[in-house]
Amino acid sequence: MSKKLLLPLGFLFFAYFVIVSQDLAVLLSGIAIFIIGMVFMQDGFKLLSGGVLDKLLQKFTSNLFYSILTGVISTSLVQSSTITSLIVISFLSVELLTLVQGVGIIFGANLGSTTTAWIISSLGVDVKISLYAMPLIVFGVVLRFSKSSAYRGLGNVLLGLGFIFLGIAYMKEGFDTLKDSIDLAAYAMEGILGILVYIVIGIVVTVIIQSSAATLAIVITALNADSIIYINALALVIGANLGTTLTAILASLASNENGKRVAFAYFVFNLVTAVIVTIFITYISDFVDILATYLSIDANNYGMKLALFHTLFSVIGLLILSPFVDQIVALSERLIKKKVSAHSKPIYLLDANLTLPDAAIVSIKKEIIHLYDNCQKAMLHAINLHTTNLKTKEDLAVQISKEVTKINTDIDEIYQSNLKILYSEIIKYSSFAQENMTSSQQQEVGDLKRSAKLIVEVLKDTRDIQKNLNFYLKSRNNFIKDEYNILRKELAAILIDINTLNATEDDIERLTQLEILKSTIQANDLTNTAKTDKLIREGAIKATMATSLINDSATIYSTQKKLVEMATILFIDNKLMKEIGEHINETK
Amino acid sequence: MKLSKIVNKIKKYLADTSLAQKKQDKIQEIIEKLSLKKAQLKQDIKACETEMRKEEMQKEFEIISRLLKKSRKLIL
Repeated sequence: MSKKLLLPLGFLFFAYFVIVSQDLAVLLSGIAIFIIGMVFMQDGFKLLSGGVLDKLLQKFTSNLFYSILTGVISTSLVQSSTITSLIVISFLSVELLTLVQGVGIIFGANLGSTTTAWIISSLGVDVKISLYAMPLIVFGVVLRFSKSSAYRGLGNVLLGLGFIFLGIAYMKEGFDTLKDSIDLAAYAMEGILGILVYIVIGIVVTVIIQSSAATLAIVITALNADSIIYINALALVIGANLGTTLTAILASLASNENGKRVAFAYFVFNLVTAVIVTIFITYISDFVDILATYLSIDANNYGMKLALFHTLFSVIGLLILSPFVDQIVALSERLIKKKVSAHSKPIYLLDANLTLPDAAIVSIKKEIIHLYDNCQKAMLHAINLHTTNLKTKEDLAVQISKEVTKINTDIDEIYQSNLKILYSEIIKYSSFAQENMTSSQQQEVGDLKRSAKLIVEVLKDTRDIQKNLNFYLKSRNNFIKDEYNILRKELAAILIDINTLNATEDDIERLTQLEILKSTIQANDLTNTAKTDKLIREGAIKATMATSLINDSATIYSTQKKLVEMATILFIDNKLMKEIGEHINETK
Repeated sequence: MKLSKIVNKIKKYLADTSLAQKKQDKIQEIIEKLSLKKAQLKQDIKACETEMRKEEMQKEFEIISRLLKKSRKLIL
């Protein structure tokens, strides 16, 4: 509720200021245009690089130095540490990078992001850049119509630069005019309290506008308009650096544990650096003045000196913290533990059974049934069926007869976060257990491993039909809707039958039920094919619907066959029974 | 040929024969169970009054007959 209210309240708050003060409206428009410019420029660089950045991040990270360097270069190129960190997080999740490499890149990205301040301070303030803004925007728009992604990318970069220049011009104008009505410099605070207050302001502004570059642009323009004093501007830069890590932490909340660890390392980096820089701020400020003289930066060019301070901040952090990357990573791993859901935890794979072949086989079988139970639930949800109160075919008929309500089920996510771990544990345990087994026991475990593989396959098969199923169940064509409902029913029915089979004690009964299942699914497949042909001939469904239906029917049929094979392995204990049970294709 | 090797071969032959015998016994056991189930089902079909259930049982009956046939084939 509070989240829902936050946006309109914030909007009203801004609307009030914009209406009340024309000068403030100009300033806020400048910030808005600047942010839009950043978005365009980042998109453009992404299009232009066309995967080069991904390759760069993946290849040149063999040691910590290269990782940092790659982070510096890639972030300077795309002008966004956010893009770099997002790619790092995605690479970490698929283990293309180690956490140490990822943290190295993020440290480098912090330094790379300081180039924005240099661009703004060298171009944006002294020159009347709004003159360049319009042609850049015009060229950018023209290039965006191109079919080539490289040209479109270039168009976005130019458009982005144009908006950034325009945004800075408006910000500058806003600060200049605002100065006449409100003297911001009057709020300048010297001493340690001033530094702390302005650090907090820097954090808040950066968290609100979600960009340290935008905060820096505001600070530089405000500084040039004499709206703030230099020492407070330095504190704002420190705050911006801390604020950007908070943004990263917020973004990482939705990612996996590695994403959170990287965000944590980034936070530690900026926090430690901020503390050190704050303690020695006067010395560092003096050092910036000395360095500025060497770099031929005018003593009154506070914008460039601020950019220099920003760079120095990151360099200090790198020098102090790079030797401790391993320790920071270890700390992050200790604090942010990998979440293992209850579904992914093996229940029956006991180490004590590893050397006892018969006990190990029972453990493996039970664990695979556990895996199957979890997969089954995901499959039923994927076809929009609730698992509670779904025990019999009568329950199924009730659910199918009702109007479909979509159950959001991301099978890939469920597999990655829950089932992959369990499946891997089963395979690992089986392989170790096989070491102490006779050849016939090894064969049995081999079959069990196959059943686990089949379970994962049927889950992925269900994912493959999910999109069409959801689409056609909402179709206005009742014929196709009915056909997809039949497919749903057939898949769910076999799952219910297998559950009944599992609960049956008698081996002969199990074998008979399995044979009935085989013959039913084959008969269903023949009926479905004949029905689809009829619907096509009668023009009841379109050709596109028919092809989807044919493909999905085939997938369901193959899924059912896999389920029967899995059930045979898992639920028919007697080898002879398995031999007697006819192969599905022989069933008449 | 050494005596030990001959003894081993005889032992292996006897073991194989014993295994084969055990397998035959098990098949026989399965056949008996299936025959019993078939007979029971035949009676149930006769007694059944609803057509749908009758059809289901008929299907089951056919499957058991097929399983029996296959089991008998496994008897040497």
